[in-house]
Amino acid sequence: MSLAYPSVVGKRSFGRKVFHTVEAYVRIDLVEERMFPATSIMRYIAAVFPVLLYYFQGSFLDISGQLFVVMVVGTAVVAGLQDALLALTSRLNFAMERGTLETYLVEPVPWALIPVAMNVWRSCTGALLACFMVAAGWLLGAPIQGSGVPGALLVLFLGIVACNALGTFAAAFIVLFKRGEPVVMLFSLATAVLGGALFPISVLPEWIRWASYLIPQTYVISAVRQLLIEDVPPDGLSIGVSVGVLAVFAVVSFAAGLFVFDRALRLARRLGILSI
Amino acid sequence: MTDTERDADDIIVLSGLTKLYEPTPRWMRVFARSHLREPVRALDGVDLVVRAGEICAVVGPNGAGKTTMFRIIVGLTTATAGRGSVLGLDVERDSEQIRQTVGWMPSEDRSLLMRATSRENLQLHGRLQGMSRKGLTARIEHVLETVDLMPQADTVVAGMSAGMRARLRLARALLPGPRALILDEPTGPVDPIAAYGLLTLIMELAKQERLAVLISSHRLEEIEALQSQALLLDGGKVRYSGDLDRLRREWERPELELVVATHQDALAVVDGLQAQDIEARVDGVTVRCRPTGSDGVGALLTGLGPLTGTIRHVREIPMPLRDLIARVYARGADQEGAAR
Repeated sequence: MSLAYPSVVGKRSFGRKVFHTVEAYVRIDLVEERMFPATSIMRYIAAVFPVLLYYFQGSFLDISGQLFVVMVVGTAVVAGLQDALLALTSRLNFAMERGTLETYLVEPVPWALIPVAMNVWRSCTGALLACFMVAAGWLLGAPIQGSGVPGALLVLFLGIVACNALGTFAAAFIVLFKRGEPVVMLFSLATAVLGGALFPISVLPEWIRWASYLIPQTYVISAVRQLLIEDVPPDGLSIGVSVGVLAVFAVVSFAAGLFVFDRALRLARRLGILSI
Repeated sequence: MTDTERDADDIIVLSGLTKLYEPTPRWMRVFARSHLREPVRALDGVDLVVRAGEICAVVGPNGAGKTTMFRIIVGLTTATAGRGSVLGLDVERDSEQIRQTVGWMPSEDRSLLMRATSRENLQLHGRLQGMSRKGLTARIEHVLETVDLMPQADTVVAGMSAGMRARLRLARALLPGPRALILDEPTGPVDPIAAYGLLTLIMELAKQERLAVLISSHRLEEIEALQSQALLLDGGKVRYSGDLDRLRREWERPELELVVATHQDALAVVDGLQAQDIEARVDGVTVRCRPTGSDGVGALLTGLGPLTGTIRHVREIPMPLRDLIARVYARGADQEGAAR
């Protein structure tokens, strides 16, 4: 066989490039999972403890099972979306410091595809983690409505897309400024409060509540709670409104996130700071 | 040079390539300190043509602009002025297509996925290159065999030696069947014997597959062994561009060693040489000098007259490439100083 290879490596459609890129990065994530098998198992074991914490706290304070399930669902959604939000930045940081980012960038795929592909696997495992936490709550007696599960998964998917978009903004920040953790950490802690992970956002005073409506977590938590819990405390958002806002947020922020990431890479390329 | 003028064998063509690194804009410094205080000219009007089957060694001290040049070609940074093309594709406009036809071997092992095997590393890049699953399996085996790494196909990279990792990086560069190879200090961390093997392989590949190869190295003995074209860079400027033989012809002043019968004869020969305006030094019965001008050894010996009869042995000592390059750089610096 000659080294020249024109018949196999030819022109590809954009769709093929998307497929190849996602497949390649998922494959590498699977290699990582296989190299550290105990890490994944321990993540799922660790996720049981917040559920147990709310369960025993509920018993101690003698609060209703209804409040327990509200907290479990809220925490599960935030934990599930956390991966979509944070995984890209930590992975990009790692690739930049290790020196592998440049080898990814010299491959013939559009640069904007890279953050999407890099985050696919961790987004899936994040969703699985959320399901696992809800299942653990259900086993401890939380009243979950089985009929709401498919709808809740759909809402969770929209939330993951939206959080991926936000992660892409953070990744653009890292490409240019090399440190994204402070921004992401700030956002991630703020969303736990503003998104109403442990309480309905109607609890928040009005002067801060407006900020809740700017983050996707609020809509995901609200809609998933309404789908999985029968008598959920009101928060002023209907499922239809939450899903609608989420869909618009996901589409707009995803497109904007990819555009900003691509621009950030181009600026870093021009300035010669892609790998320093 | 326009595309219509381009010879089909001209694979890498750079014309007036210039790169000026500038400090990051003020608004960016709110978040991160700039690593530059003033603009730095990394490349200054570099012209170069690398043809199919040709190896061009890029030589220069740290900061000469070698890596910047390579990074512009593979699209990791942009040129401020001038033009570059690979197979007629513009490095700025057609970067994605160029990345399909150029194999790039970065200088560091770190560019490999350390916890993955050789095969898994190549699978990642093969899929990103758009190879079919079936074709990729066969191709991976072929490139691993080419670099003699088949026994380590399923070895995790972290457990491989520096030489093996260098060969794996070369295998990765060869994976898509490139027309051009860009090798940034490929033998950096490799021991001399493994480095020799790697360079021999690169020379064979360039010849057999008619690859245009751009290679940088700090090891001058390797550059000499490649029998390649050379581009000497210094401070982003081209000090010399052409083949090494021409470099020797133009710049080399070999040392001449004359062995005579007695020390008295040696001193007499030194006097004879100095009479010809040639500096010479004596060490016992050996006289060493560096002839000037283009008259050669014959004229020098003729100039010694009857003293020639005392000479028992004449030896020409070639100038080491290191000294030759140092002369080129020194002359370039002198010329710049005079121009100022």
